[in-house]
Amino acid sequence: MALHSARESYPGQNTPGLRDQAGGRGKALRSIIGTAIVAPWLLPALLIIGLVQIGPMLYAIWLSLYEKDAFSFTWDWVGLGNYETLLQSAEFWSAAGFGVWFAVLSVVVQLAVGVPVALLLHQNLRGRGLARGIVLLPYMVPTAAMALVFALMMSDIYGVFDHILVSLGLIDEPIPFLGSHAWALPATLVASTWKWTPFVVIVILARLQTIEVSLYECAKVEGANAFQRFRDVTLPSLRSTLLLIVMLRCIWMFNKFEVPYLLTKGGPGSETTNLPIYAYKVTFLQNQQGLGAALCVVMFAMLFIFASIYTSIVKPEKEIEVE
Amino acid sequence: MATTRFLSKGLNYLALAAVCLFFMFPMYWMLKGSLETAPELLSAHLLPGSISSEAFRELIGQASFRQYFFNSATVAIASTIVSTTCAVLAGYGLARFKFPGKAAMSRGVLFCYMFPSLALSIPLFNIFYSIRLGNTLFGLMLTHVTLSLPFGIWLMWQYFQTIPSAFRENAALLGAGRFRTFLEVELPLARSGLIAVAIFAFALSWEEYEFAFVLITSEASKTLPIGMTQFVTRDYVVWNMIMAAGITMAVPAFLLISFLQKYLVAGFTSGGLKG
Amino acid sequence: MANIVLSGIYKEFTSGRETHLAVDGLNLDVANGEFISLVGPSGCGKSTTLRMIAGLESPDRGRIFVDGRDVTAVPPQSRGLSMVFQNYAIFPHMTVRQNIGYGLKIAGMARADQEKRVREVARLVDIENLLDRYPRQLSGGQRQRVAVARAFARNPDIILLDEPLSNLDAKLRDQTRAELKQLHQRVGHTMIYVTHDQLEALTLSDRIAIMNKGVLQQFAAPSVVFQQPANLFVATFIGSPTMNIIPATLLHGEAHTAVHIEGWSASLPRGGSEWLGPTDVSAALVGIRPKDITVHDGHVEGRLPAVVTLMEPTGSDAILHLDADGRALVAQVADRFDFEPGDKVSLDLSLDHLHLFDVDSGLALYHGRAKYGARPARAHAGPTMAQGAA
Repeated sequence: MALHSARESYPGQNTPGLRDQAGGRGKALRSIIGTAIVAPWLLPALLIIGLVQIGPMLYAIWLSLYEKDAFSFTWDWVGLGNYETLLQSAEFWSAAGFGVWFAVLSVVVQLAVGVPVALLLHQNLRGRGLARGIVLLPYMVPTAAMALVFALMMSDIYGVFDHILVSLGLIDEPIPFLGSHAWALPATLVASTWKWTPFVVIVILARLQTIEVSLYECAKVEGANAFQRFRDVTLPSLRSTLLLIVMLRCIWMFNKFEVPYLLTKGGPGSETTNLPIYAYKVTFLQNQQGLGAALCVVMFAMLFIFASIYTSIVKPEKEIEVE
Repeated sequence: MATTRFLSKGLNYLALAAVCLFFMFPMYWMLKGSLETAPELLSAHLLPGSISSEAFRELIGQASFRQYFFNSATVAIASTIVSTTCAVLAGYGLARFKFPGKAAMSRGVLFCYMFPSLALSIPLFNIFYSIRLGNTLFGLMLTHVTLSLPFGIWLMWQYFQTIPSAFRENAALLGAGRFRTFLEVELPLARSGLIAVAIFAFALSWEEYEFAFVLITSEASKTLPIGMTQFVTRDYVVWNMIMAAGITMAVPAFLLISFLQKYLVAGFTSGGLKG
Repeated sequence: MANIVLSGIYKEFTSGRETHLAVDGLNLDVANGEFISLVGPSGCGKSTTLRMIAGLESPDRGRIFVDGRDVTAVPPQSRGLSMVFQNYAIFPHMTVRQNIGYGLKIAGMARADQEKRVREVARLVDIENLLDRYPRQLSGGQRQRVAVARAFARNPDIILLDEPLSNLDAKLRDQTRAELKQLHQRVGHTMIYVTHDQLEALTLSDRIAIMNKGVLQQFAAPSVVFQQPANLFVATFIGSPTMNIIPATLLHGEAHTAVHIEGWSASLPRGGSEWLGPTDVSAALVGIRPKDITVHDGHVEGRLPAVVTLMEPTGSDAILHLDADGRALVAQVADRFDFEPGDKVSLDLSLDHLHLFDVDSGLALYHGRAKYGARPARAHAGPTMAQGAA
């Protein structure tokens, strides 16, 4: 018994054995050989990741210590000066604040819409399959196309929302949803809810489908009503999934650029400017590359903290074990 | 009892209809807009006034649109090939070999993957210009590879792990070397994983906005999402054309991803898929 | 065809901080053309041993020789052997023809020769008509044949089989077992067969290697392991129903040793070849197979009194579960099914089939004189029937 489990739990165990037959060699030597054998397999992926992700991150850290504008080739060492500038800048704090606010709000709305929709789609209703397909639609629509159609629908001149509201007599004047102080954030929230709620629905639906039906039947036999069954069976099984969703959605929503940018350009004023939009503006519109790089570094740092928590929950290196 | 049951059933269907309406309406609006003439579209009636292919014809008639479409397709196809190849190799390496730092590396890949594209594209802008990749489709293609690569590696890693070692061992006993075993036995067994990775790579590159937005400034290298959104600022009258462009963008992605619903779940739950 | 010698094989697996000993000091030699089985409970090291012979695992210590050549460090593809895996490992993306011919293709055989050889081995296992099918279109039994055909295709010196019948249903398993034996008799490869099923091992093999906890217990012909088990483990592992083990005291006299069980005693001649171990121990374990116990109705003086607790009819035989003064015993009775729980019976233990084992080491001390091949079960069926009739 024990032997079988010992072998089966190490699917890769015998692999070096195919080459490294002599056995009894030093552990260090074996690990060097292992690295040498695996290197060619991983190298192409690592090169590209290095060039497009690690490289720019390191470069951003370096660049953030200088003052440099886009047109000059001069690099003036300022040390942590850029970070000081950022911490003292009201714009930075407002962008960071809006980013957090937008992330939290949109995750709350996505959950508030997504969880009930998932529960609804889990019911045994006719047309459920079709409805699931429809809910998945937004994920398949390219973000740029989606931003454009929302921009059209929310326009104050030819937008369908204003058109309906006016003809119903609910408002007298069309509201420029995307350009008004009061409505820019809610409008962006609606669009992002439409686009990203499917994520929540799909993940929760998948989890719901793995809950044993017998658990519900057992609860029913024990006399639990629908609410009690939800509270005592469904909710506990969803807890870890919900945590996962909140973590992931917060990271993604905090770093969204294209949707707020395409809808509002960060306006009106800088009201819907989050960190990515701010970084873009600083770098390319204000030509302060060093400061822009410092902003990127701040984003990396925040991500790093978030991702550490995330990976300690998900453990991506966990392997499936099959003989 | 029967009445409340009936009532709750009815409410469920009502809710279902509302949900479908909410998620379908923008798509409907896009389709409707693309089939209308520009003046009709501006009146914002719920039903299309007439149906015409005017917007599509005009769109295809534009040289710049054809250029954007061609660029997008080129970048998407190239990055699909590169990303799938890299993912297959790396996934196999992770699944089949033990080496120091494997756990750390798998986490590292996930970290990198969560980097916001925009925060990467800002420093990349300088890097690419200094190594002459600025404004090139090749450079853009490389950035697009990293969108799907982590998920691809993860999926192939999982896939190769589910292939029983007996296949590999048997091939070895029959005389096949490692690379031959990989190519002739294990890769065919992981074929459906490979297809999934390829389709995701295509779809993610096809709709990518941020890298393209920052890195590409020359008209000749712009991709569809960038070129298309510029119609808006240029001239508001062409909304029907913009909607038609949206449809041409949405359709390929739509077709491809609908094949892959089940992988979406795996991708989302693993965190390996951006959303 | 080739002979195989395993010398001082030692293998352990480490998982985390735990080290598990898989094979401990195994010596084994397999003659040219021999069919041997490695048998034992799961975790006994039999599969690991097979995988080390194949080259899929490497021993920590010890050497493996094939035809006198040290192959310990030779990779599996160069050892000139084939293997049939438990789940067959038939490549699902290849047709039966491609599967069988895969090894030939790798070896660089000309296409025409490949086709000829594939047909040859396919005929051998009777799957010629399936060559263009894919594995998913085959039944379990057909897949098993494909796996066997593929193992034979390269005409290897040695064929290893890892529980090849365990995924088949009972009826198919019996049939395939017989076919496998015929196949071996026809082609005569050296074959090593791993199974946890002692019946398969007994019926197929020229010799059986019984392993427990990584240690070889006995390596001998089926009749020998059945009738002269080297120790308590072999005695109880081989044979079904399991051999009864009863603690007994021994009293040694001049010419005889008295074996005493509560309620029964017998006297064995001393000094004969039946005695294997020390003859002066005062306690031992008596081993007696269920079919070597004769059951009489009622209480008879000099016989072991017992009460029937359960009867399991098997068709031709009845397995009787008995209680003899608190000890649970099992007896196998032919052609009598009229026992009821609660029946008082008395038992005769056949001295010719009696075994004694050392209490501490479990090693065999004494084997009854009955020698093999005389169909011992039938030999005792007579008196039992007579008793039943009387």
